Amino acid sequence: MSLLQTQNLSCHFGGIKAVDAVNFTLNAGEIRAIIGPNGAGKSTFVSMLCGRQRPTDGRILLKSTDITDVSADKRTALGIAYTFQITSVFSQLNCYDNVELAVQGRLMRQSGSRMTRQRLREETCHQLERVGLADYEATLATHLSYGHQRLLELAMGLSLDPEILMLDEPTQGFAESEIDQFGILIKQIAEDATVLLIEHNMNVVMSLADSITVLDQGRILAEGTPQDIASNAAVQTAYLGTD
Amino acid sequence: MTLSALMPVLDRYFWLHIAVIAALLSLLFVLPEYHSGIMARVMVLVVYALGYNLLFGYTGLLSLGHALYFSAGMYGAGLAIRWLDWSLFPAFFSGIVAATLVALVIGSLALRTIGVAFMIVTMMFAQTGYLLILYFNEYTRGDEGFVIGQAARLIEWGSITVDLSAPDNRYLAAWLVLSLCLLVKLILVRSPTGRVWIGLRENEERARLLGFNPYRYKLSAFVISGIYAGIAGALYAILFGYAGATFASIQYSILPLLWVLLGGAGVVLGPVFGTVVMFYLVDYLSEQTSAYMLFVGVVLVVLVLVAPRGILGSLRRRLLHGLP
Ligand SMILES: Nc1ncnc2c1ncn2[C@@H]1O[C@H](COP(=O)(O)OP(=O)(O)OP(=O)(O)O)[C@@H](O)[C@H]1O
Ligand SMILES: [Mg+2]
Repeated sequence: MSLLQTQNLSCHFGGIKAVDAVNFTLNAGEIRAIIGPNGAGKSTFVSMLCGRQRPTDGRILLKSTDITDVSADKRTALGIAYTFQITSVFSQLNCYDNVELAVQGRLMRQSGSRMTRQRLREETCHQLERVGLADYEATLATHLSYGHQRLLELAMGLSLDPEILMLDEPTQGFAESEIDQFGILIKQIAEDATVLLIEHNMNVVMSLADSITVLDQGRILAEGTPQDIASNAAVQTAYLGTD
Repeated sequence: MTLSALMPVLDRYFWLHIAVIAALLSLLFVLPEYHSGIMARVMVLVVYALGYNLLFGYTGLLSLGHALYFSAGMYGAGLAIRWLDWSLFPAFFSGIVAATLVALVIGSLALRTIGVAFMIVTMMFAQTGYLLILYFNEYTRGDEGFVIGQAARLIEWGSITVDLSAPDNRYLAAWLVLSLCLLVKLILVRSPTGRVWIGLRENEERARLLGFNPYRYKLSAFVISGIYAGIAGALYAILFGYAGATFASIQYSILPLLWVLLGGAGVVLGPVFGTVVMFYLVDYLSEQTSAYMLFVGVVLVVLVLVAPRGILGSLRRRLLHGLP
């Protein structure tokens, strides 16, 4: 079943066609990876899906409802969560406060009248534990290592309990062990959510993704199962940069 | 949000605020009359600065036009007394309502801009308000202002009459309002809404992508901050029996910014200290020299260099971690 769909979605920056007339369908329940060389338009594409970036043309449909003009905060309320490629946390707040705000946002939407302090505290601690940041509760986000900041970013995305989780290069800066942890976490999340994963680490992509979309120069170059993509000649060329 | 979410967190910082409130009350009994007179005035202005801090210190929005809401409160109360013969409480509330409405209208327009544009737009609206007060000279008596007679400054309750023009009563009234405003602010900044304000200050895009509508939350901060200004303005008119256009001038838009910066932006108690220190600094220096504003400037520059986060902001970094 198609959960999210784009029709001719484009984003041009002056002369640069960052995303160019992309028709894309995300199915409910899958883990979809988006790969492609640097500058292919992956972040721009996903930013349009979550509402951070306005498209210059085209439509976005969520369960057949047009959400092209829906603001980013409303899309979050509709169940779309996004984690930034360039870490974007509340750097002057501690880990606890960072995650608490995300949890609060969800609780206010889900059960506006039953958000007690205790519930907020429990869920915040749970989310911190889930990504392994429980020991850093009181640490200012800016004092965390890069990898830990990425984990915090992830925790905030997870705290929203989204229907669609969009992760923009989440494993950048992770240690080897953290990458394994991450894989387990994503599989767990995918049991009741749809995951859209931009990822450079091909091991992660191949082990997690149900299907892969390859973007190149703002267009979809190929789409298919990990096996299809691995053996696709056009993809090889795009990645190796030869003709 | 349940009611329990609005109950204050009774931790040591709550009691610190209570201690400051108690200390302010005790000053009435230890200060000589001259100084308790000054402190009554300062406490009213602290209310103004407390609200300014909600917008500037917590939400990260720098308005250069808050004199408009202060004077809306002042004239909302003053004109009601002067022209409609309203008694104290209705006049006080009409001042607050006036400030609320003006802040709601101006806020919803000004918040469509950001950064420098926001500063300019808020300032322009405040200048318009100032000019309107001068233009309607017939009613407002412009720059010269008007005096509010003692008759309108009485609280009458059955056989009890409290004269708010008497120094001690004036002090107590200012203290009472300040205490309530301080506690409400403490609760607000620790409430879910207050956390979103801080989130917007720290990283607006992030807050938006957590599902918070920035405009709505900024507007709530703007209006509440305007209400604080209105309470201060109305209270000033009633306690000191005067309304004048000076209070709508640009100077009164800049002052709360200085008080907040000096005391510590984003610290609930910051403006209390900032306003008191600044007021006494000006008072002391103006007795020493006619060029006192120059020295005030020098002292401010030195303070910004030594303690860039203001008095309490610096203290929070070193000692009082987690002070709201
Ligand atoms: N705000 C912007 N203004 C102008 N050009 C932009 C902007 N954002 C992205 N671009 C350009 O659009 C193109 C696509 O960028 P994008 O960040 O989407 O690529 P990407 O696939 O995410 O790359 P990477 O793998 O490096 O993250 C690039 O050429 C980039 O320079
Ligand atoms: Mg990118």
